[in-house]
Amino acid sequence: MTCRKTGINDTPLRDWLHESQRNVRTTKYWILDECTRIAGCHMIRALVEEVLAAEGIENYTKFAHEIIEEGRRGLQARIKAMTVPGVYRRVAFVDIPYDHEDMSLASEFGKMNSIMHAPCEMTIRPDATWRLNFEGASRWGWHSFNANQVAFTSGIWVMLTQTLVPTARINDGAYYATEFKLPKGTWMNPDDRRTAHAYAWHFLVSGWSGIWRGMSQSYFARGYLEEVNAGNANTSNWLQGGGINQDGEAHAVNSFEPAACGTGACAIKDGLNHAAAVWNPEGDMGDIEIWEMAEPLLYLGRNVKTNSGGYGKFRGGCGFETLRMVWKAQDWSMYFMGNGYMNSDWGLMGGYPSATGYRFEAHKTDLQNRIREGLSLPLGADRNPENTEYERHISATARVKRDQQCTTTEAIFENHDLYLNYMRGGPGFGDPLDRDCAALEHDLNNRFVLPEFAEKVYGVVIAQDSNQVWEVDVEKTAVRRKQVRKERIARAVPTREWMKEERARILTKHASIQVRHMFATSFDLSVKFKNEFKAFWDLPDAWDLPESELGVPSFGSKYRMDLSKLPDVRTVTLVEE
Amino acid sequence: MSVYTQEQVNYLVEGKLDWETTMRMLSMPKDDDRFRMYLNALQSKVPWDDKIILPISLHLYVAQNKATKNWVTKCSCGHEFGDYRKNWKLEALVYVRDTPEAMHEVYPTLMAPDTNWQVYREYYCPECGTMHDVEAPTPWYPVIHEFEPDIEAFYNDWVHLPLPEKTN
Repeated sequence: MTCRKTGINDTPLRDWLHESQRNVRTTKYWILDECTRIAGCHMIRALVEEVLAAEGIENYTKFAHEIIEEGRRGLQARIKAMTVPGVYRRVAFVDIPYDHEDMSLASEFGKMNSIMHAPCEMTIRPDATWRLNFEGASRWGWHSFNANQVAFTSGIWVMLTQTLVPTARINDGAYYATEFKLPKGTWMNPDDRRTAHAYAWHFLVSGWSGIWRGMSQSYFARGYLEEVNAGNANTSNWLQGGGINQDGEAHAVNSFEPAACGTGACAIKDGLNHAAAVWNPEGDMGDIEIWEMAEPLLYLGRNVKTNSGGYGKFRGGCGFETLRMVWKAQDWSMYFMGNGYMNSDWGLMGGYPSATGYRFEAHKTDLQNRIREGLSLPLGADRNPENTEYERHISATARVKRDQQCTTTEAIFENHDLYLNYMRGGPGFGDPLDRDCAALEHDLNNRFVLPEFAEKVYGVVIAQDSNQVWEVDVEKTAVRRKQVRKERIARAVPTREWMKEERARILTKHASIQVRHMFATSFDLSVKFKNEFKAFWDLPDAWDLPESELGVPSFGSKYRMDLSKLPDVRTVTLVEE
Repeated sequence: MSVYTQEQVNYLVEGKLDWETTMRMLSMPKDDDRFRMYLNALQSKVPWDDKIILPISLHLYVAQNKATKNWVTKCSCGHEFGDYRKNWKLEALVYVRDTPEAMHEVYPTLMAPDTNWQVYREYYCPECGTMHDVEAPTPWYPVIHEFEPDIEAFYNDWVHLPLPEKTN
């Protein structure tokens, strides 16, 4: 709600230090970070004072103004150099699967399924100014994934430094060159002081993805193929939790492995495997040995996540998976944070989205005895979740959760319990039937794709030689791919025909609660979005989708109290609302 | 300002440009002449001689129909989807993966979306079966008109190329 005072005269307050140390995973590094931040302030202050002494306050002020103006012009120049003027539309979603037994919520009214919705209309004008319009976004919800407008716009600058403006000179000028529309009441600009924002990242990163895909469309049209990025991984799972660690200390865990998810495919090459996160300039999963020193979680496996990258002429980078066994912990709990029922990033130009997430955890595994007796152990990869390979190496009576509920509240983990931390892959680019046969041989032999899906999606004809090495029969593949194209045409229908069927489903309101709830909240906040929806589907004037008819908790749907309504608060508005 | 040869741009389009040059393209200021050379590279790849005006997907172009001078959206196989200002997807074939069985054709169980939340819509060319796009929206979501380029402004004011004749 407000900033918190954490120090006075360059000295951190003691309550802040004590409280923080109870809630971070590596106390020493956190303290070091705090000291570094203060040292950074000193360095900058000293530099500013030095310039002031040498140049005077007037020149300094003029310089600050000019450098920001240069940043503003610089963004416009970059837009003109890199893109094509026009209107770009994309959309992104993420699942809010809260109506589940593993979501222990303090508020009953939050226990429902919904979907977060981020439609993005990006307009690049002939004068190279641009406007990012998110009208139609869904309402904030009873979860901690809401974001304030500043969080939404600020994060975009972090990403832009890695895409459109890869210079060290990005500053407020870029903000002045960009128009934002973030309608009041949406998840990225809530109109109620009761909203939670602790994990805004959950959808922010994906909510922005429409911008990058739209920009990639423009890079592609312009011929700057080297800049095209089909999208990003939903950078999860976030393994979080805590308890008493192997050293007997209070400990909070937050695995930073998602900083090395798969990247999206480019228009000229595959995405990188387990390599990066769009929000972090440095992709790094960290060394197993260091994580094992930091956390009471031993590694039983760490592997490329087979089949996690989106298919395409160029495939998305694969993520990776680590199987962790709780060891020497006490009073330990963990939870999952990621996407499961939905993908948040799409592919580009015929490429598929990456695989979705799923959850694996196991309790009462009897691994302590199995280790003692020298029996087989669940090691390595969960290559195809359908095969339930891990379950063959733990007690037959173990309690296993293997499903798509990738958002949970904390669960108790005893020593020798298992937790699979699966980092997502990136989306693909282009029709998979265009993928080079040699690239598929490489994929198969490095276990980046399952043979079954190489055959079905890529249309390759494959066989293993006597050394178990996969080979693609190029001639037979060419024939098979022609056949796949015919099969596509045979099973598809003209879009307008399909639209008649879909319209009938809308008229009878045939869709899950979460889908209807998402549309209901978007309609409530934007007459424009609702009217465009009704016009597209040619719905009768009387058709409506009020939230009140859904039979779900509706706290927040009618009564809302914005911060600005409080008598002693004056909010700052930086966007068109 | 960087300068590249037509041959290098051709290799780029094929995805076969050497990494050193690719890195230079990534890290150095962009070459102004890229778009013109890009069009040359693409034009030599398509089996028809209608003029490519703007590529909009891997196998889709805004092109000038040679006979009518209409600007249309055109597949690399030659199939035309109509006026370039309209959403080509509405004139395509679509296959919607909205059941677990259909999803299982493309991803293992647990690694595909739950179709109560999200579906895949695959848009194919009616003539050659190329998959031009995969949408991944919720059920009910309108077909998205992804790109409406301002080609006149782009040609006249940005890349300074002669604007091809247009009759529609």
